[in-house]
Amino acid sequence: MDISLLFQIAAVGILVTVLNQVLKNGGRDEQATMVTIAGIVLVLFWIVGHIADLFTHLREMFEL
Amino acid sequence: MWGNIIGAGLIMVGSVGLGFYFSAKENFRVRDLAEFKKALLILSSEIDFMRSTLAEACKNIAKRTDGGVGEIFENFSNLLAQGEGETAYQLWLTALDAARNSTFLASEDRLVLEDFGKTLGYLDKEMQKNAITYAVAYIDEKTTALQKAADKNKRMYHSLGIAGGLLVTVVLW
Repeated sequence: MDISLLFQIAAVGILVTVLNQVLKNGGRDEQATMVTIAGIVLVLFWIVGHIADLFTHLREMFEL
Repeated sequence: MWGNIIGAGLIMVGSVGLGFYFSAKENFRVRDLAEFKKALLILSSEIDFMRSTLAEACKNIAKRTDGGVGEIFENFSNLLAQGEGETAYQLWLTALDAARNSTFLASEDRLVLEDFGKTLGYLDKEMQKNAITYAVAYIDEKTTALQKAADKNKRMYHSLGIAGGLLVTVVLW
């Protein structure tokens, strides 16, 4: 796995938090929630392949 | 690598520019509303003292107001002078539509102005003045609310522009 993916996920987490706070302070709670959900979906989209790989490796390791 | 950096720079410039545009848009809206209020007050004075026709009054207003608002009254005056046989309300709607891209008025402002057009040239001068008073009251109320929120929104749009640009840059890197 490329280490830069971890940094990208960290950066997205920080930026989504900042956007969330800015929108909440501006009284736009709905948009803040949407941004948070979009951030979660984006990160899940990036890591879903890696999670699948992890389960495959675990299955191979324990011969399940 | 250099391509990435240049791309990131362009995205940042674009998103920060968008943030500034949206914050300025509210100021432009307030300016347009103030200009409309000025136009309505001139129209009220025209009704009271000049006793001019609606087309002449609108021509005078167009000369004394700037930007998109002046354009609306100019268009309306021209349409009235042409006298195509439609109602004043329809001509007013046409004039509003023609200047849609020249003003920063929101849809709620537009609805009030469309409503105001319904009374243009209808019944007596009291009716006209009441419609003007109603529209001016709306503009006053909206302007106060917008000015109150302007500072907060300005900072919000700037922060959103910067943070949004960074987010897009990180996602596309």
